[in-house]
Amino acid sequence: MPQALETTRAVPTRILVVDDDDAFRESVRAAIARDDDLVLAAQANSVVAAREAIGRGEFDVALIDLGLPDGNGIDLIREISRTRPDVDVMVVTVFGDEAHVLASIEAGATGYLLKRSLTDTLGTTVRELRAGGSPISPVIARQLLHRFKKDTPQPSQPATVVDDGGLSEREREVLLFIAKGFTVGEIANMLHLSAHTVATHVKHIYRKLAVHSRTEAVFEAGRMGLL
Amino acid sequence: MSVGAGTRALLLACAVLAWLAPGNALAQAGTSVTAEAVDDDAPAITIREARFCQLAGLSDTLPGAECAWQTVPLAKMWSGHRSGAPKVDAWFKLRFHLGTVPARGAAMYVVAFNRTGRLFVNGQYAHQFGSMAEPLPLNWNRSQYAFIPAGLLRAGDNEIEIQQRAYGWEWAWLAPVQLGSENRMLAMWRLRVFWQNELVRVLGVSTATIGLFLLGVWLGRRSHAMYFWFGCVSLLWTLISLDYFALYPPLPAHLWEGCMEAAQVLRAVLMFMFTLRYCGKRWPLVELGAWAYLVLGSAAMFSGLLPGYAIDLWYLGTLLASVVYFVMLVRQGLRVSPLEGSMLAVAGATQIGLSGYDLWLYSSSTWTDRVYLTHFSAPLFVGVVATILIQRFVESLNAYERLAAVLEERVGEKAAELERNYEQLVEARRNQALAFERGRIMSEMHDGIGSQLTLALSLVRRMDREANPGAAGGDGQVATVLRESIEDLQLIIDSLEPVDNDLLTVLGTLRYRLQDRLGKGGIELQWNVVDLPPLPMLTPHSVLSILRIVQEAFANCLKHSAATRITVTTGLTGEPGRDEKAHIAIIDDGRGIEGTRVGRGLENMRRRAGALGGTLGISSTTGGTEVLLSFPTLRESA
Repeated sequence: MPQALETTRAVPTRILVVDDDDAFRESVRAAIARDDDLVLAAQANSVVAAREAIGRGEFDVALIDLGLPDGNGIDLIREISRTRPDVDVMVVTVFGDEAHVLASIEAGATGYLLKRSLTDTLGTTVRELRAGGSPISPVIARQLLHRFKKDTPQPSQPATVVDDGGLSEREREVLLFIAKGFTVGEIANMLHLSAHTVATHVKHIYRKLAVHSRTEAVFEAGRMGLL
Repeated sequence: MSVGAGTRALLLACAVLAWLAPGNALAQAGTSVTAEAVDDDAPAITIREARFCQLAGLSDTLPGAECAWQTVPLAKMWSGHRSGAPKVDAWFKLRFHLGTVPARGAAMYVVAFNRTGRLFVNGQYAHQFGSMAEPLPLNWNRSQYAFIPAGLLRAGDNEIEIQQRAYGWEWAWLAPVQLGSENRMLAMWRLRVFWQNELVRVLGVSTATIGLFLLGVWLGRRSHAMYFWFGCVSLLWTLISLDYFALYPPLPAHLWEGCMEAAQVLRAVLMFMFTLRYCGKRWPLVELGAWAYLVLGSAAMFSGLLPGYAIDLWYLGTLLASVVYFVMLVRQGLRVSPLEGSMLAVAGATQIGLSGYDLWLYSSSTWTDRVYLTHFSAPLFVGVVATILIQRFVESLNAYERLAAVLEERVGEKAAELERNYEQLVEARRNQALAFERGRIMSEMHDGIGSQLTLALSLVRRMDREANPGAAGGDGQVATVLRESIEDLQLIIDSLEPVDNDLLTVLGTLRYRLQDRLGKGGIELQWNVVDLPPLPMLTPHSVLSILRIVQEAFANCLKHSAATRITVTTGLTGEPGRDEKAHIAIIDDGRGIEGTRVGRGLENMRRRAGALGGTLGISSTTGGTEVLLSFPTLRESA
């Protein structure tokens, strides 16, 4: 979607908010209200309520808090990414630390937000996400490189080949630059790409990791005799 | 192949036939041998003719004319077969002429004298060649020496009378008799005793030693039957050699003769067994046949059922078998190695050659000082085979040692590998424990204090907004404290993140966190970094110090410098593993920090740089400030 801005202006992005903190939900609601491009589709304070909203609701982006009173937000992310592949799931974390973010990405999230700065960055992040770009930190980039390195057989394969589980050479390059502290814009300059393309690479990598994790889980389950 | 008792008899019979042939029988009856003088300078005289008379029984006195005296050439063989008596006597009269009576007497030397007897000179007793009653001595392979005192001799004609005694069932003989000075005769006799008897004794001991050694090896390695068989062969050689040097048989004479006969066959059977094992063959039926040949033949022989010629044929049969196993041995030896094959061929050929020589010696018509040599081939043959066997033994020992060395080396490698693995495991466990602990703390911070601070911040902000709806952006005092607390917590969390010892990831994380604020401050960040090798000193502790120092530098830029651009560079100087240092420079284009109140912040930065073992350099002009953090890349010192 190259003309994302125009599209989102025409049709506001509907947002589902899942968090057990009333004050936080309220501040999100306020932030959404301030932004013309966003509209609150539904909000939930528990896994049960969220499931109901997911089943019922029409939404484009889901903001999910991981620590819910009656369950784990990861399960919700997994459910949404399986049943609603068109929806972008963003996990809401306090620190954006590798453990929480990577687990969410593996479950199918394509973005994340820091709780404390969410009201400031929500609009920008959602717009970028809907346009195909995902946020990524150097630590997460490094961890992603690890995840994929583990499963790529040997570096003897031709550089341009993209296999299902592994990364393309370009994607690897992008991750490496991010891990070294370069921004999407700088990487785009160095690789002679548009910033948008670089950001899209990141989202693709997230999706690959999710798919990869699923097949790995299936493989594991098969190996353990569960399937 | 030693010449056994039976063959001995057979061959001697042939020899006798040869002596009885007309050419040899041309003995001049009554010829007397003359010696002008008997001393050390005079040559010995040899008496080759005698008057001979054989009795039907025993007689310790010289028979008179009633006995059928006849002139015979020496050597003379005779046998009491027809008498049927257990022991038989015969008498010889030998004549010789002396010019003068030697002052120190004379000595007699006979190359061969079987079996026992007495010497009389001019009717006077002079010497006895061994016991005349049971047991009779083993004299078949022994020369005899006797001293004749001067008192028994006289000038002119002298007569030697020899009483000879043998078993009725055997051959007896007397070789030509030599007379000379005591010194001369003794020298000849001793030399012959050495070669004929003493040396055989020594060789017998050596084959016994080898035999015992091989049996010892076999006891340790029962599966190697060839050591057993050849050990037996070797010991049997010693037993047979007894017949060549023992003074008296260890058994009754007839039984001993039978045993010697059977021993020859047994040796052939044992050799055959050894040869089969050496060739790696088992021929059960043939082996059984060989043992049956030995046992049945021995039984027949001892029971006296077989006539003499049958026993000789029984023995000769083993000679044929020995040719077969000799060929087998050499062929197998050549298959193993040319050296082994040729050694066996040489040893075997020597044995055959010496046996042939002995056959010739036995059947030759003249008596000489030559000795039988076959038994000399025994040590050679035993030695060669023993060498081969011992070499195999040693080789297998060496192979085991090499194997053991290889095994030891492999075990060592495995042990080292295990140790490495163990260390890795310990390291992994430790890392896992650390990661687990880190995860737990992060989770606590995330869900606990982090969430609460975040909640507090959002509440304060909302209160601020509600209290002052018109105010633009910026946090109030409480909100700022809360935000900075969260940011500090964020820094701690970030320092705990896995960065793979990459300084750029550490700096990049900080950049990522500050990006929004820098953007809002209108500051452009130049990321002029160079990649650095992994730095093992980048532990969470040192990472936090670096993060705090760099964050403080950024904060100063944001707060005080009014800069529009900040450049971050990295670098590496010095020698890896020694004095290598990493450098981080944060350079802004602001107005400098002269006169601004950044003292405490700078002090904290310096203290932290010191904790890293590094230095913090700050150079500030009106055109900008450069903060340079340098620290050693070696593992962080406490």
